[in-house]
Amino acid sequence: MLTAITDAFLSVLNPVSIGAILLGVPIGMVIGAIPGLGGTIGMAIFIPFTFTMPTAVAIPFLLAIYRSTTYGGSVSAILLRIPGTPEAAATLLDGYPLAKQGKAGKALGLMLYASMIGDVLSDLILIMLAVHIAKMAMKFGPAEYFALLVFSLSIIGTLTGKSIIKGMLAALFGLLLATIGMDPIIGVPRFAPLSIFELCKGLDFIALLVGLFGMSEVFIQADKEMAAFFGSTKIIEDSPNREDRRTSWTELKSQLVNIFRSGMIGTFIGAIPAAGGSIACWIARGVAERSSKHPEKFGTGSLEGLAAPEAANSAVHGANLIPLLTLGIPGNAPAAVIGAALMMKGIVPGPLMFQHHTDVIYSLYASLFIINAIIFTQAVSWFNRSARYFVSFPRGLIFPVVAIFCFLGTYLVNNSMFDVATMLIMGVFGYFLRKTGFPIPPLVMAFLLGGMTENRFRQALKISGGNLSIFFTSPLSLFFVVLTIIFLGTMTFREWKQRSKPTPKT
Amino acid sequence: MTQDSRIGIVIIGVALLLYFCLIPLGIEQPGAEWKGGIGVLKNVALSARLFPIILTIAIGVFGVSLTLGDLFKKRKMLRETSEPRMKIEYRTLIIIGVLVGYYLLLSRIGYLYATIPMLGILMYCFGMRSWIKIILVAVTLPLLLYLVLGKIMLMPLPTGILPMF
Repeated sequence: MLTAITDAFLSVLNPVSIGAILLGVPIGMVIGAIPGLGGTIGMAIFIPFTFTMPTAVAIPFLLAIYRSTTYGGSVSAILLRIPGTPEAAATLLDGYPLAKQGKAGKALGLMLYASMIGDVLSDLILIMLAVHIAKMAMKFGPAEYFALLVFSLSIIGTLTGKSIIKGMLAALFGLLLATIGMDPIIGVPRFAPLSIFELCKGLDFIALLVGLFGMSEVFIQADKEMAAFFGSTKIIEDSPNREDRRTSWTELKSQLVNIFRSGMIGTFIGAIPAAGGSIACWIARGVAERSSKHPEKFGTGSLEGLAAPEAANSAVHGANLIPLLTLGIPGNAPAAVIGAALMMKGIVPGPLMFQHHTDVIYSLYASLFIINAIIFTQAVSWFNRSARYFVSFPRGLIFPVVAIFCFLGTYLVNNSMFDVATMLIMGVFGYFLRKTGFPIPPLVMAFLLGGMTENRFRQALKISGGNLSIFFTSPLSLFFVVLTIIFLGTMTFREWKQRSKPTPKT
Repeated sequence: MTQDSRIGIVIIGVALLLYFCLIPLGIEQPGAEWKGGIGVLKNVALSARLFPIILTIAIGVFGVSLTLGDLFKKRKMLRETSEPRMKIEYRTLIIIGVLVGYYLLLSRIGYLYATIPMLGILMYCFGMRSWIKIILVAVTLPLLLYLVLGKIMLMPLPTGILPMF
């Protein structure tokens, strides 16, 4: 195994892969710092450009964008009180007050250390656990796998968005869109009339992804007030006191327990499909506040309040890859993009990756650590100093450019104007979904898992001769079915109770 | 009737359309024994319609839940909370129209000639009013992308009837 790890590091430590990471990190940081964009949109825009890259270059490039957007989002949260990404919302509560006190440098420094430690922690756990989970997954038959997929989709549908029904509907529509094309078992066209023969190969995932995330965001931004397009925001000046512009070793040491605990919280939550950084950061912050000797300082510039959410939302990165690599189930939308990128290269994420593509797995592990190192060096060397200027980019410049990139990127995947039309239609569809409160991630992830879900279902039925009892007679399958029912029931009951509460009088 | 109820009704309509129209017309059922005008398969797992039908039924059920959930809300809550109506800015509709026009132009006149004016129009729609910045970005960025992607990386960009250099 040591030889494999060494080989993996050496395979990533080549000029082209390092160059891709060096390019991906600043792209991700800038995208993350600009409110309205984010890791998923950034990856969605650039994934088409990775089509011609080798796997050892494409995956590190996308991972670099993903990881560095979280960092970039936290920077704009601290400097401008505008979280660049949803995960940075908890960072803002103590990060911005610290910056207002002239301690922006201290806040950025502590945030960087907490992020790095959280990232490394979850990467190590990923490496230790993934192979064991994959071995367990190899014992799953079609019925067990189908039940697991239904459970995952129910989590994805309920935990993203404000309404369980809308989340589940989004997931169901994603599964339905995945049925367009040729039937995988008997090969008849489905929803693919002969006049539109391009539909026979199904909707392109990249076109769907870019449209639903990238193009819909362009339309959402177009809805905003004109003033929002002129990014003129007051830049906070640093204190002249040198101690306020950096994080001391004593301060970092005092936060290590908090950072490790928050990193573990982030790792655990990140391993659950759909439960990502935006949940982990709040839970970690809540735990830190309850465990703190000075909870009254939270919200006023507390170092604990800053370090906890940062460690947690960075720890989510590595953990999100656990279900993707071991089960083929993406942990969140960015992980779904990584999954799509792997499939573009002919590699199906799942337990068989650990048998047939161990070189890809180990290269991925190696690139995670290298990306962390490069984020650290780039943050310290230039980004922390210049981020305030990126955050002020006028939106009137950013989103038209995003739109053009969406068109160009989608076309470049298959040189198909049909895919571009799909992207545009999905963009309009995604816009209306978001306007009416439907979450996008369940739709995207269900689309990605749709083929696998249907295949497992029909394989199980073939084995049982059409008898549905196969899903209840297998102990593991029954376990996931019961878990799904309990989970959906609990979440539905909670939502019903929430909606039944009388609105407090103001 | 609230927005969610209206959406629920639309979703129920979509589910009925799928079940009675789109699935029977859009998905063949080869190998079925036609008994009384209904195709019956010996092995249901082989049916290409099975999974879409299950999904359609589930969508219909959730559509009914969405509609009824809103209808059964307590009256007090309905009085207290007013759901904001979905508002679509005219600017957004214009931008959608511009992008549809961009799509149509791309395949007809090619990437460079379509992107330069469209990027400028989009920037104006998004509120940029400095003509110097608009022209600078609208000309420079597409040219740069054309050179890097089309000429250096040799990626095929959309071409049309107008000649590229």
